[in-house]
Amino acid sequence: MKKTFLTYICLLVSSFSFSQELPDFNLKKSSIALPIYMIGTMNDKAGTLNGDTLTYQLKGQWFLDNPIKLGVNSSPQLKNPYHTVNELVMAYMSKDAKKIVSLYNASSNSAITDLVNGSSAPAFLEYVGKAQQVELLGAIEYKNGFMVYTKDATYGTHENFVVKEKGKYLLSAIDDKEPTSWNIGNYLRCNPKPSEPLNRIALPDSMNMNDSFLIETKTKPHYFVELYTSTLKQNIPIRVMDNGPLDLDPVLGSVKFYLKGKSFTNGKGIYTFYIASFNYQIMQVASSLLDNRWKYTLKLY
Amino acid sequence: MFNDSNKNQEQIAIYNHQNTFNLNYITMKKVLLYLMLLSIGIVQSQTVQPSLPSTLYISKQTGQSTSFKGSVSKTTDKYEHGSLVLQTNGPISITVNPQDLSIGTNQTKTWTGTVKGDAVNGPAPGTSSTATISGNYDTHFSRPYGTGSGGDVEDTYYCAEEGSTGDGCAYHGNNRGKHELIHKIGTENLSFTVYSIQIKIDDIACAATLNSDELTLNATTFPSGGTITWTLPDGSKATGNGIKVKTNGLGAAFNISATFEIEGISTSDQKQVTRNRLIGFKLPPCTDTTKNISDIAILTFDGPCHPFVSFKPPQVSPPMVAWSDDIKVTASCGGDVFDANITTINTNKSISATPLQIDFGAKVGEAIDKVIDAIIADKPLSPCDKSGSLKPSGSIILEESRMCCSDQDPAIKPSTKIAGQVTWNYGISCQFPIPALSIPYIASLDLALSAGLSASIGASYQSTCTAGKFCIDAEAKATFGGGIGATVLAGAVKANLQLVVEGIGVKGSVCVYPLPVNGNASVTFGKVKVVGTVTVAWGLSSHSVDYPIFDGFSPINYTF
Repeated sequence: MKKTFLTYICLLVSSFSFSQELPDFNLKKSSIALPIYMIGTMNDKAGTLNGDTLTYQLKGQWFLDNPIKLGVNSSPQLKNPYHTVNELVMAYMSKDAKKIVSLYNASSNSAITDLVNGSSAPAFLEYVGKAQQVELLGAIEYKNGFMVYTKDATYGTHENFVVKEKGKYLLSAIDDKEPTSWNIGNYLRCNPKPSEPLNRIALPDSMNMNDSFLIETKTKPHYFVELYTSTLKQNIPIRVMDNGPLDLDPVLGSVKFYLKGKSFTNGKGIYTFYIASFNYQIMQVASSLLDNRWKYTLKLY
Repeated sequence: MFNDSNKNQEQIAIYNHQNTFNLNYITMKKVLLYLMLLSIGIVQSQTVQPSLPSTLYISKQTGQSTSFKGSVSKTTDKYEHGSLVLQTNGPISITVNPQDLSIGTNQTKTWTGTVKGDAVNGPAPGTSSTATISGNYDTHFSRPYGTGSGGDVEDTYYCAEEGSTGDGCAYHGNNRGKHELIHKIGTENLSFTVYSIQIKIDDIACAATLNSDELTLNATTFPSGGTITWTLPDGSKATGNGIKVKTNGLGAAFNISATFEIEGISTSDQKQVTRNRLIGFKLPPCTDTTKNISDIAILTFDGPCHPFVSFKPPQVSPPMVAWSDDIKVTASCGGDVFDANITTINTNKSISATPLQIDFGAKVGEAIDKVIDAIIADKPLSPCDKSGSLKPSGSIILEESRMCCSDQDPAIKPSTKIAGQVTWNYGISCQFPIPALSIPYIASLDLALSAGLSASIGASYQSTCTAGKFCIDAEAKATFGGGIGATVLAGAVKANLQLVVEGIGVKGSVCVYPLPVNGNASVTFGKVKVVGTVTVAWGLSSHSVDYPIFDGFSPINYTF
C-alpha cells in the first residue's frame, strides 16, 4: 500500500497544474496502484496483483493534487476529450438538453435523447444541475477511446467516456464489462489517504457478551472509523462512516456507535483489535493500516 | 445207502434254517443231522454247502446260553463205513452221545448231540464273536458210476450179475448197473455267531424336569429284538420302550430296572433316580411385559435334580389401567409351597408430560444476527427488521412413565418417551449502503439484505434401561441474500445488484435426553459479494459489478 501512495505522489509531480485553463491533452505512460482491500474493488486480470496492491500500467494524465475546475470557460471546438467534458459540464449547469445531446456520438444519440427529452428529463437535469465545483481529475486511454474522470462536491466521482469521431471528440455511452475503469473510478472516488490519527478511545478491559459499550470519537468529515483485528479469523468488522447511516451523532466530524459483545463472532475469549480512521472502507488488514491506530485488548465473558 | 432225494430234502431244510435264523430244537436236530451225514455218509454229494452260520446267545450276567439239541440215526450198507472227529473253536461247546462217531458196514447207530454257547468264555456284554465246529471224516462208500465226484475210486462193481434181469439195484431200475467204491477223507466246518446280550437304561439321572413331572423310560439292547420288561417303582411291570412314569410323590430317590430277554436267556440293568425338593422361590422385582412365571422364576432345590414346579398364576401381565400392579405368585412342588411378589408395569401409562424448550433456533438466529452485524456494523437502532420468531412452533413432548430394569437397583426406573416436532422460521431484513460511482457517500445505494432460517426437528424416542442419551441431528436451511433493483438520485443511477453469499450452512445436534436439553450448532458463512450492474446517467456508463464486502466467517460453533 505504501507503494500505492508513492505512485500517487509520482503522478502528482508529473501532472500539469492549470487551475483555470484547460490543460493540453497529453497522455503518457504511467502506473496507478490500488489497494485491493478497498470496498468496491474488483479482481482485474488487466492489472498486476502484488500482495494487497493492484497496479495498472497505462497511458494517462492526472491532476489529482490540483484538479482542473471545469465549466468556467467554454471549449466548443472539442479538440480533445477535456474540451468535450468541459462542454458537458457547462451544458449540465445550464440544463441545456440540446447541447447535451450534441456532445454524444451517433451511436449514443438514442439513449441520450431519451434521457434528456423523455419523462425522466426534468429529474435528470435537476440531478446534474446540482453538481457543484466539478473538477477534472485525469484521463486514461481506454478501449477505443478515453475515460475522463471528473468529480464534484455533490456526487463524487464520474466517468466520461470519449471517442474521436470525424475529427471531434464526442461522448459515448459505454457498457463496460471490464473492471478496470470501475476500479480506477472507485479509487479516485475514495482517493485513499493514510489512516487518520484518532484521539485514544477509552475502552473497558472486559465486557459481557450481552453488554454494549458506546464509542464516541472525532474524525475528519465523512471518514470511516474502523475496528479491525490482525487476523481474519477474529474478524470484528465494525465500520461506521461519519455522518453515515450508522453514525448516531449527526454532527459532521463526530462519530458515535456501539461496540457490542455479540459483535465478536468467536464468542467468549480475549480479543486484540485496533481502531483507526480512514477515508475509505477497508476489507482486511493491510500494511498501510498499521500506522495511526490504537491497539486494544478486551476480555469477553 | 441213501437215495439222492432224501439227501436233497436235508439240504433244503438247512438252507431254510440259515435264511430265517429261526433256530429251535428241530432246526438244531437238522444241523446235527447235517453234521453227522455230512461227515459220515452224505459227503458223496458235492452240492452240499460245507459251512452254514447259526446264532447263539449268552448272558454273561446270568451265565445263561442258548443251545441246539438233536439226534440222528444212521444205517450203512455193505460198502459204507467210516469215522468222524469233531473239534470246536470259539465260545461254544458240543456234546455227542455216544461219543464214538464211527460206524461199520451193515450197521445202524443213533447219536444225540448238543451245541451251546459258552457264557464263561464268551465275549463281553454288548459284543459278539464267531465260533466254529470242525468235523474231520474218513469214509468208504459206494455210489452209482458217474453220479458224483470227489474221493478216491478204489474199485468198481456191478449191482447185478451179467445177464440177470430184475435183480439189480434201485438206482438202475432193478437192473444191472455199474458202481464205484469210494474212499473219501476231508474236513467240514459249521460256523456260529455268539451274541453276549446286554441292556442299558438310558440316562435318567433326575426324576423330572421343571417342565414335567413325568419320566420317559427307554433302554438300549444288544442285539436288537427280544423283550424289554420294566420293573417300576410301585412294583408293576411294563414292556417295551417309551414307558411313561409319574414321579410326583415317589420320594427323594427310587429304583428303576429293566430286563432284556431273548431265546430264553436274560440280562438286566438298574438305575437309581433322584428327586430333589424345592426349598426356595424368588421372582425378579418387576416386569413390563407379559411373562410366563416358569421363564423368570428363580428356584432353589436341595440337590441337582429339579422336579416340576407349578405356579399360580402361571403368567403375569402389565396392568391395563394403572401404571403398576403387585402380584403374588405361588410355587408348588410336591408338598413344598412358596410365595413371591412381582410388580408389573405398564410402560405406556404416562405419569407426566413436559414440553421441551429447545433453543437451537435461537442460537442459530443469533449467528445470523452476528453476520448481519459484521457486515453492516451495529447500533441500537439497527437498520434491520426481524420477522418471525426464534421460538419454535410445535412442540416436542417428554412423557415420563415407568419401566422395569430387573438387573438394576432400584429396578423400577423412570421411562422417558419423547415425540413431536418443532419448527423455526426466522427472517431478518436490513438495508445498508454500498459504494458506486456518481453517488456520494451519504446517498449511497441502499442494498436490501435478507436472511432467513428455517429448521425442523422431529423426535421419536423411547428410553431403555441401557441407552442414556438421545440426540437429534438438525440441519437448518438458511438463506442469505438480497439486492436492489432500484433507480436512485432521480434516475441518475440505476442499480441491479444482488448480494451473494458463497457458502452458508447451519448444522447442529440437539440432545433432548437426559435433561436438560443441550446441543451444539455450527454456522458456516462464506464470502459476501455484491454482484450486478450499475448504470450511471452522468456519462451513460454501465458497469458489471462483482466485488466483496465481507470475507466471511470460519465456522462459528455454539453449544447450548
